[in-house]
Amino acid sequence: MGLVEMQKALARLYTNADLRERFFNDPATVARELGFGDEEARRLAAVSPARIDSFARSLHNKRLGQVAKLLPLSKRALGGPFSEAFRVFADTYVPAGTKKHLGDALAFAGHLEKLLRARKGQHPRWALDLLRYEKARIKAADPRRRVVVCVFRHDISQLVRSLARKEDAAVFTRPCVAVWARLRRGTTIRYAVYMVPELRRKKN
Amino acid sequence: MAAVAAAVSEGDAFAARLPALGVGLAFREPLRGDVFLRRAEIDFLEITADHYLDAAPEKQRELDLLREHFHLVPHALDLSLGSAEGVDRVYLRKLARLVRRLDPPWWSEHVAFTRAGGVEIGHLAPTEFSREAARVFARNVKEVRAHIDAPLILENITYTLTSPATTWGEAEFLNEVLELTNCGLLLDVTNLHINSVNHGYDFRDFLERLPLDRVVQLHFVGGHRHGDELIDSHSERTPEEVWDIMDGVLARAPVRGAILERDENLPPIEELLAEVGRAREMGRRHGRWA
Repeated sequence: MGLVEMQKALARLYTNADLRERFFNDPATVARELGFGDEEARRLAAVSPARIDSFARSLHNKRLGQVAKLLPLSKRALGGPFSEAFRVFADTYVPAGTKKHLGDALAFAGHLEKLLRARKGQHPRWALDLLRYEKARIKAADPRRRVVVCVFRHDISQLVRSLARKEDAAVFTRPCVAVWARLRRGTTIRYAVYMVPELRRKKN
Repeated sequence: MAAVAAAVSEGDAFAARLPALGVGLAFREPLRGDVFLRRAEIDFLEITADHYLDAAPEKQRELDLLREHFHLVPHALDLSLGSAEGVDRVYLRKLARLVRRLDPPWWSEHVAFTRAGGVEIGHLAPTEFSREAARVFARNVKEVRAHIDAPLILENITYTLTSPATTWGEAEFLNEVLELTNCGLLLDVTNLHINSVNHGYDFRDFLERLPLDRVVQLHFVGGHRHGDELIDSHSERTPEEVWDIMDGVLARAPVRGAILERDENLPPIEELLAEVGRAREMGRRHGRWA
């Protein structure tokens, strides 16, 4: 087995938690599954599980760090559950391409959104608005997109501003629509928020 | 900004053919305002090339603005020069476009692989230290040179494990890679310090076995300790051990530039510039730049 196969095997071990766990429990069998002959399987099995695990953890933490930078307010609002949700999500999505961090953050935001909707009552309702705001902002950063529109239950400007200043969340149930738009593809993005008074009246 | 000195030597050494840039910062978005306000204290900026591939117009304008005020050196992360299956040609074309646009004195990548078998690892993984792996670099760099004319320098990385097929030491491997590719070396003195501690070797012995005449640029920063291990987190001020290594390298190698590579836990700009100033003085003392 040559370098190509060895790199493929290592890349899978570094990025796939299930495979890694099986490898730690039975390295010789997993090495053979990966296509290694007896001698190479023996050598692969001799690699320290702690070292592989340490590298895999550093990869995971790097990914989490990048995603947290793109979803900073959601991370701040949700705290520990944000990282825990990412741990579960990380093995289900393989980021790729020059914008892999954006893709990772967008996919994770989708995962987290489903989770928050499924666990109503366990998180403040405004956390979902905040997450959808950050998700929309990432989508709008793609220069190929002309328009991104998102409706929020809460006054998103106040909510975002308060959390960005590290203050207590300013929560006002005041429906609004946020629009990110470019006049043409590849031009600068413009952002505006419109209150929806009739919805507010309906709500009240 | 310090003046760009002309090439200093007529010798054959790789570094001597390049201009001396001085000392600068790895550009990070939160530093944007500060680097313009304090640009007289920053000789050049290193930009992460990947941030400007397929970039939004806002990022493109940022790059234009940076270019108007600073010498820029692109630093790529994901070309995966150590990939035995070859480099990603789509990525290479985008990178080549960026490097041509910036027309830098040199650009840099890592002695690492970041993808294999369709899996993007997401970080720099060490290749095995062997003749076969060195030949992979030679093949990949040859392909890259068909697209990018600017001189390429390669950076040593930190690693927690080595591939089971490794047959050489890291220094021998770097030597062979640099020889076969005819690239310069971006010596990350922090990585050297971290590896020497984590793998229990003497950095002086390591330096003795490196082709120091190929050292073009340095990276320096501080990491943190996790148990017995040093972590390359780019999150702390540069420790004294790294300054000592840097002083030794600047005394012997024809270094043309050094970059403070702080990513995390960013302190006020004054703290970063104090480190830049210390490195600049160190290089001046050894006659590396004006």
